[in-house]
Amino acid sequence: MKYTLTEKHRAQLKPWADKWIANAMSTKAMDDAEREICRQAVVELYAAAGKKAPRVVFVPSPFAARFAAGFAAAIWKTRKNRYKTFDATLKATQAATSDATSAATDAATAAATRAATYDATAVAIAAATDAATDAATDAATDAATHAATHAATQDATQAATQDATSDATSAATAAATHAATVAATSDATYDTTYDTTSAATAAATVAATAAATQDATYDATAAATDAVTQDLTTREDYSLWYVVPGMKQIVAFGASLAAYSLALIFAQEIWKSRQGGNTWSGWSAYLSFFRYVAKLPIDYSKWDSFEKLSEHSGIRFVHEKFCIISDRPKTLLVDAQNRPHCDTGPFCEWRDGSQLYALHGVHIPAHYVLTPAEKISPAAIMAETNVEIRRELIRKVGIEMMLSKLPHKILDRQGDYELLSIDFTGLTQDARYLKMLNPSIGTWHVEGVARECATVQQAINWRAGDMANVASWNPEQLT
Amino acid sequence: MNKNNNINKTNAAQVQQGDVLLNRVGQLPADCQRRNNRTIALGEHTGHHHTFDEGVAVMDAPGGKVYVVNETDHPVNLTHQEHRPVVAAPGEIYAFGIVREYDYFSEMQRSVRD
Repeated sequence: MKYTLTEKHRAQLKPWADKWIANAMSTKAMDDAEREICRQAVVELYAAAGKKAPRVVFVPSPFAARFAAGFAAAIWKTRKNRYKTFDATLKATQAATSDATSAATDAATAAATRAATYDATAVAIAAATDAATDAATDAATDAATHAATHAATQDATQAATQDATSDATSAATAAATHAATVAATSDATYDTTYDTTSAATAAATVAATAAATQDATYDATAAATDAVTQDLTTREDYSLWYVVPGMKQIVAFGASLAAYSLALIFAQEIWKSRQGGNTWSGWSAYLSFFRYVAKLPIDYSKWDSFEKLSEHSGIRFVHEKFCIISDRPKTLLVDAQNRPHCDTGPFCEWRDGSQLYALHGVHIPAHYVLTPAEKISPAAIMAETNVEIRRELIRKVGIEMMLSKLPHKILDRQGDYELLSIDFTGLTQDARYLKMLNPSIGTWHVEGVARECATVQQAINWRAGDMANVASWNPEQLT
Repeated sequence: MNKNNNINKTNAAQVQQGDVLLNRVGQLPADCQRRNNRTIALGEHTGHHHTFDEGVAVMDAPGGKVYVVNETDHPVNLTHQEHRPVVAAPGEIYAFGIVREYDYFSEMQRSVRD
């Protein structure tokens, strides 16, 4: 059959997009009823992929989910010495859902349908939800969890020798990670010391559990931990754009596992087995439009579980043996252009206290967001090496306020450009900067140029480097 | 440089979109390798990217320089999430560059990072 978008259906595009945008932006905590729906949906999802039902574990945040999934995958791999299980499961479940939806859709509607409806629906729904959700949640969360686990992996050696016995503070993320790891790996065949560990012990400190399970090698290093180490491991890090309470304890937990050599590596690599839940609402919006609005006569049985999980849960990690599902955040804020944004706190926060920070879509170290504008040092802003972060800090503080606190002279003006000579007392003098207005978004940039620049044009030429070696840099197109 | 921002000048020799610079050149160096994507710059803290629409080839030249070639007979857009599009003229070749800045706190110059 050939489907053509009718005027009646076209009228439903906006409401349908709005419904799924609201789903993506939801901050409702998962309740018992939703968890039960998700448990059943996971069983159906795996069945559609020809897989046995896994154990299903719920955690409060994607951070806890990712670490726990990585640790659990490492334990399962170590135990069974089975290679690439999560990768195979991911491919199987994705292939199954993809086959069930796109193949069915293709068969029923053919290319003509897709062509006829793509512009209207993909643009109106997928683009709208992508803008609203992908930037705000999925991409940001993925980047943050990746950065967090990457940092954790880099620190693994040190963690293994210093942090393994840190005096944990029962931080929610750490406890949740531990609980989820145990829940995802323990069963009757589990013949390690985790046999005696149950979800009930998860509320106990990570240190106690780690100490109970670490092998003799780590017993030796445990004694070396001192008060200074404990202080360092319990302090939160606000120098990054994500804050994960208990991060050090999580790393220590991973390092204490019998599968420690793989645990943190798997936590970094497990992103490959991620499925987006409600943060992938764009796909669900698009496909479910044909199910509920266009009512195309397709077998939706294999798609149904994916759709339910989109509606009732956050990001999940799928593995042959387990599926770890994150709750939705409790806070999710965007600016007028749907970019992640909050200028007084985290734009996104989960119920275990893990947080993400951004200003107008730019990932910003948490301490800059939490510090009032008048208390941010202009010199610190100028020393920020990333120009997008610097731009947003200038926007937060205000260009005039910032320059009013920095002794400076204006050497030259040209249009919206000014060449400045700034004295950083005690650091450097006659530092030359080009102040300019971004023609696309109207924000101010201040970027350093070499001291030999005496005019705005020379500064512009210098910034263009060898691009301007023949003539002045004076682009006919500039945006 | 800000006095000219007419993006309709499709035959422009110098083009700038944010920190991305394109300078029209006469020919492509020998032994260039074609990339399999059309994204020429990525934002580290935004996820934004400067990406050409279909029809432009991004080429790596020996020595590390990068060129872009509009292989069509029509203007092709370079798009970005925040900046308005600029265009590569049909059949033209451009050298690609990134704006540089001077860091007075480390006393060194570098390409702009965003």
